[in-house]
Amino acid sequence: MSIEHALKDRLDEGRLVQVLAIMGGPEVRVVYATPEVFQQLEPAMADAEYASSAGHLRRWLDGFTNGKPLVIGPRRSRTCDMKRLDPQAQEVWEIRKQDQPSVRLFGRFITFDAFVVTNMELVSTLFSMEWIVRGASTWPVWKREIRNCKAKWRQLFHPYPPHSGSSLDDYLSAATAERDL
Amino acid sequence: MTTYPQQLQNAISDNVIPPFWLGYFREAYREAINGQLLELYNTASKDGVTKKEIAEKMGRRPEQITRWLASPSNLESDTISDLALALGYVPTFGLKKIAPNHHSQQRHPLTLRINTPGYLQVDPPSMTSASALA
Repeated sequence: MSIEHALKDRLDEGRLVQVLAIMGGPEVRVVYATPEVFQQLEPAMADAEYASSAGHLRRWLDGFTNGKPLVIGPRRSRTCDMKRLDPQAQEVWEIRKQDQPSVRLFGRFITFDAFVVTNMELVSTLFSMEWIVRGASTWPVWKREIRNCKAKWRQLFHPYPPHSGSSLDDYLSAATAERDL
Repeated sequence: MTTYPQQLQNAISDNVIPPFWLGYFREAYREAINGQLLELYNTASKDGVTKKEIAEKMGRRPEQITRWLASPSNLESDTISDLALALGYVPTFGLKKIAPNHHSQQRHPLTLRINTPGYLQVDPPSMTSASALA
């Protein structure tokens, strides 16, 4: 067995879906998503309230698939579209879409240029001011979604760890580090 | 189940284009602009032009250049023109008829591998291993 066997099995079982570019084009990179995420990215199924945001998000993922140039930020970046979260050894990555309503997608790399989106959440839920009012010193929903990402990965790929590397070039083609801008 | 091209055709034939498709093509447009500006910036950077110099030409702060380039966003036409000019270019505008590109043969190596018949078949237990255990 290998992680590629596990991926094939999960696709055959319908527990993962490959996000194919709506307008076609080259498949330079590849994105897989859980069905819960995928249904939010489908033209016919996206939640009506968030449909415009879903359209932006789907195009972002299609552009990712087509090999669009990416800017990858450091952990504290607030401007980039993608970054690896702390602690970096956990290999949980975040895709940030700033359109209203802002959304965060969480996932991990399965190999070079191949990303699995495990879960997503609205920023308004992740960073609700309710927690400040309640005196929380951190963002509990945010932490929960990171744990959720790791748990879903285990359900899908146990015992295989996510892809890891020592530099950006180990993860993505056509990627620029934000510090180089 | 309708295909994506059918869904798109239906969408743009509707009296009101569904928000999903509006969002999708707004993002595609932003992506096209951001991709070109980023490419120009990376080329200029390799030629020794600094972000500070570009920012000064535009009367902006260097951090603003980072914000514009780091992510496809809803840049104003004037900003696009100014940034392109600071990089030594002038933007042009073009339109093309919507046409999905389903002719590309390029596939990621992972999807090629997992879709190759037999590639992922589990090897039968090795006789050598079995006899070694005995």
